[in-house]
Amino acid sequence: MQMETSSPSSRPDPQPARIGDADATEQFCRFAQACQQRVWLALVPELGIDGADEAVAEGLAYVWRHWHRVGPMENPAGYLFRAAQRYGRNDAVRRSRDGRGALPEATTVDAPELTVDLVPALAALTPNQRQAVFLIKGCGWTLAETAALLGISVSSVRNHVTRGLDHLRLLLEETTDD
Amino acid sequence: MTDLDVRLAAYGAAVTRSHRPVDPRAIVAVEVDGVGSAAGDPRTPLRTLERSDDGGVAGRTGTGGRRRRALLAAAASVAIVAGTGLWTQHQSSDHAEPVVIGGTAASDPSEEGVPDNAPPVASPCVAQPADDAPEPAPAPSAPPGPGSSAPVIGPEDEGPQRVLAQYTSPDGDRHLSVTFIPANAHAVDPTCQTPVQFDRPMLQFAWSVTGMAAPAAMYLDPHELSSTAPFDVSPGPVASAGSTSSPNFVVMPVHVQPQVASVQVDVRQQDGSVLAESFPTVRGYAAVIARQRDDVASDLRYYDTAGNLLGTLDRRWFIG
Repeated sequence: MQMETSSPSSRPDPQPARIGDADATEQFCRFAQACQQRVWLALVPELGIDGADEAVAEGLAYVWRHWHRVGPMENPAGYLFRAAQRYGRNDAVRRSRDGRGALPEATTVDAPELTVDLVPALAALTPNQRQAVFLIKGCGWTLAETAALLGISVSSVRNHVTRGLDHLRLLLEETTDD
Repeated sequence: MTDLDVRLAAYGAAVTRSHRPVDPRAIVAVEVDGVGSAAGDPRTPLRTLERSDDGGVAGRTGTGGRRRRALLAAAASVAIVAGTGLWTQHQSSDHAEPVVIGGTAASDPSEEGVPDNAPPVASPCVAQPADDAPEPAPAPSAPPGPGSSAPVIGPEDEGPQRVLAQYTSPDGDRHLSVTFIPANAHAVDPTCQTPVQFDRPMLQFAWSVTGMAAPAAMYLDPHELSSTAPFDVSPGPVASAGSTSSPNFVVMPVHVQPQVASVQVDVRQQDGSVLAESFPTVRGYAAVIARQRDDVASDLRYYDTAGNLLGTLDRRWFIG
């Protein structure tokens, strides 16, 4: 029984780029090395570390199979993000959401003690707020960078960050008051 | 900058540090010319592999990062079978003498096997040795077999844990190491850095690609394997072999004697036709990768450089 990989499109895969196509291989490798960490970071708030690992690998494989079409795109990184996100979401459903889908605990990623109570508070935000706050305040991305990768407007990102931070401050103050 | 900003930045930096990059070359190798082409289909085997229930090719990977490790393992293995060039073998320092694991004995494959100046084999998917294959190595006056005086690891001479051989691909990016682990010895699984211990001697095959976070590993029991029927095939071309299998997939490093030039897998299709895939050996090793499905049977056949059949391994063993 053959199990199909999830993909952003239901169309049959085209003829993939060949390894003998040195230019395509080189371009793809440069692209993957340049943007995979950013795509991975954007996926971590939703899929967790392991889920993002697998989603990025799956997304890269999909992009490579369609490289002749994706490579010339204006925003191939955004395409990779969507491909990986779709795989990650389907995979999470298939695994019955087995504990993945949240930012990793501070101890898991060897974060400083001061961030321990931050993770539960981030988890209480909406997915969009969590992602925007994490990328802009946690990873230092600009509004424009975040908007470009996620495929949404700058004003939307700004709103997510503003509301997310407000909510986060409230949650952390409540925790402190307790 | 507020306290919250500082805390968010510290957390974001910690998460960023935990990123383990995927080597895009592994993606390229596997998705196009890797496992897929070795099995006749550019993409299907990897999909089969990634969906295996036991954690993928290494059989030990569990959850998390399974796909990435599978890519890594497959790419490294394929690099061996694909004959992309002769890999460099590094003899371990504690073995001046060449070592063959279990069963029949052989000489140092780096000296009698594929000559150092042999041209790389072009493709893993040839049914018979190519016309321009390297000249056969001189036939030994007496075929090595049981009782040979060449070094063999036996139950009484297992020695300490040690690296028996290490291989590096021509581009220097892919690595394979073979480590002997004595019975009840404490060792570390390189895949997840967890302790492993076996009640019998074991061979650890670990392969990796530079830049990847964790190698993939598999474990074989040399003594059990060397006593099974396939290794009695005269003149005993196979010195040691084993397999790790998922429901649909098998990866099998095979240590062969120098006269073995290729290992052929005959995959019988459901319609009765046979798809022959030949894996050239590199310095005495071949890593055979094949699919296993309910409707497909596979046999292994061993050929010398002249194309003569040296032995056959049937599906019962192949599946393990």
